[in-house]
Amino acid sequence: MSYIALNTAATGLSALSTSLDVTANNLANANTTGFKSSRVNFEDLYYQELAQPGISAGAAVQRPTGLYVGLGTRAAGTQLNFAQGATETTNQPFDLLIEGDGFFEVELPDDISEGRGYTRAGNFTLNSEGELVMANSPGFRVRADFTVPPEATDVSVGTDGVVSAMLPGSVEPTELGQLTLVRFINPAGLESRGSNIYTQTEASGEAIESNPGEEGAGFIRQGALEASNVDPVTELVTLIKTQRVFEMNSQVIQAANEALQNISNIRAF
Amino acid sequence: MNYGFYLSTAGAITSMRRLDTVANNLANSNTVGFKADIMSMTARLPENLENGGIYSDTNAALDALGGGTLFLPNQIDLSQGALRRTDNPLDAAIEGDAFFMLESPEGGADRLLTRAGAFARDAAGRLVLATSGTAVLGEDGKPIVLSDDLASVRIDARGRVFQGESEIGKLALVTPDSTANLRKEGRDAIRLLGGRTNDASADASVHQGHVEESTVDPVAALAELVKVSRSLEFSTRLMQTQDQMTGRLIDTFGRFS
Repeated sequence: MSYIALNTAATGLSALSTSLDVTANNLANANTTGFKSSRVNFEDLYYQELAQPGISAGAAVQRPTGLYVGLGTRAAGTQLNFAQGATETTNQPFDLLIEGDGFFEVELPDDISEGRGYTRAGNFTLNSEGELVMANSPGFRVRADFTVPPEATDVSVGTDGVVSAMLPGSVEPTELGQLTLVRFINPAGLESRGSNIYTQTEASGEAIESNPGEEGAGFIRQGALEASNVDPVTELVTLIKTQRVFEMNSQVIQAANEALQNISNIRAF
Repeated sequence: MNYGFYLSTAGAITSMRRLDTVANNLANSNTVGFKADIMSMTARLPENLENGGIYSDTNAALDALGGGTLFLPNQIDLSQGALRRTDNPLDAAIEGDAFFMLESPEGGADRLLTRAGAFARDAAGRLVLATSGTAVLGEDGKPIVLSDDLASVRIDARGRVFQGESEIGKLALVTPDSTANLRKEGRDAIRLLGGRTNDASADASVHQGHVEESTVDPVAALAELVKVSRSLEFSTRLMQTQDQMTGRLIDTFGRFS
């Protein structure tokens, strides 16, 4: 029945509006440090078997073995794109960039994902206690085994994550501690929590801790930030396509509506 | 009864099936690796001949009319879709005549094929469809397991999967022995009913960092939509006319005074 067409086109519209939402969020975050773009993956729905009445008879007509009509599409999920974003040099001592696949671990409130969050936004700063925290609004603490004493100057972070600083009364830099990174076997399965935070899920697998530069976790670069990896051109092309396909699916709804109207008018008085 | 009425009804039913198919094609214009359905209709023989009867003079007028129209099973348009660059290392698009193979959930004898090359890595490290999470099979018939090492994955034109320097598997690239046995299953899978698969020829190549766009042609689909709407309108209008004729007949001759 044309009801199928009506519903099929509706599945298209609903999947496309999801796609529109995701594109809007990507574009809105084109300037967010460490942001990773998402894309929507569409899949086709089940195919319904239909048999046209009266075909079983008919020696001369080739009897169709089956007649399958698809029931539309579905936004099966969003997939994060973890491609490296561009490097922005800032020369701030606590701006850290990960060159590779790793994440910084940050301390969330205990009721969220057991207090463990992960980020690639390395725009950090110090709080009043000398702890390294994220510079965005919640200011989550970065998990680290050190604090920076107030009298320390020239804090430097090596590519291997070793943090050192000049302390008064010493001519050599003093090692303060070691920053570690974590990585995931399936980063695309992480859950986006907002505030540049990702949390672990069943799909992402367990966090694997390693030192920077080891096992593909990537090196740390001080004084630089990772720009958002949103590609505005790709997003705009997606936007145009989404809008046009949306229009076409609306046309199908109109056509199905007219079809049903025609049918309901067959019996005229 | 009025034979023409049934012919028009067959036309209307066929139009609705066509509308359903156009709707599904258009709804999947954004589905990676989607292959459009091609519709075909055939003229039906008159009922008498369809039932194995012979052409007889008494039925000559009716038999000459034919039996309306019949919607044949959809064919799958296996033409090549455009490749879109995504730069996602786990995306692979096939150029040429080949399919990826998927793991059959119930482990049945039927093979599941797909052209949807938007892959992801699941928590067990297997290469899976990003949409349904079904594992993609390697040439050895087992899922491809990407190692713990997150060094960039490389897929070459022959479908070999490398991680770092070492080759960890080769994607199965197959062609069905007969495209007539292909049946779409949904969730990006095409089931090969009872058929065998052959290794794809060397002409088929895999492009990493690309996905194959849906083969739905929006222009053709919208033209079909217009045609279907009108054809349905004609059929229903004819049904009305014939209904009115019957009504007139009853009015004229069925009146008792």
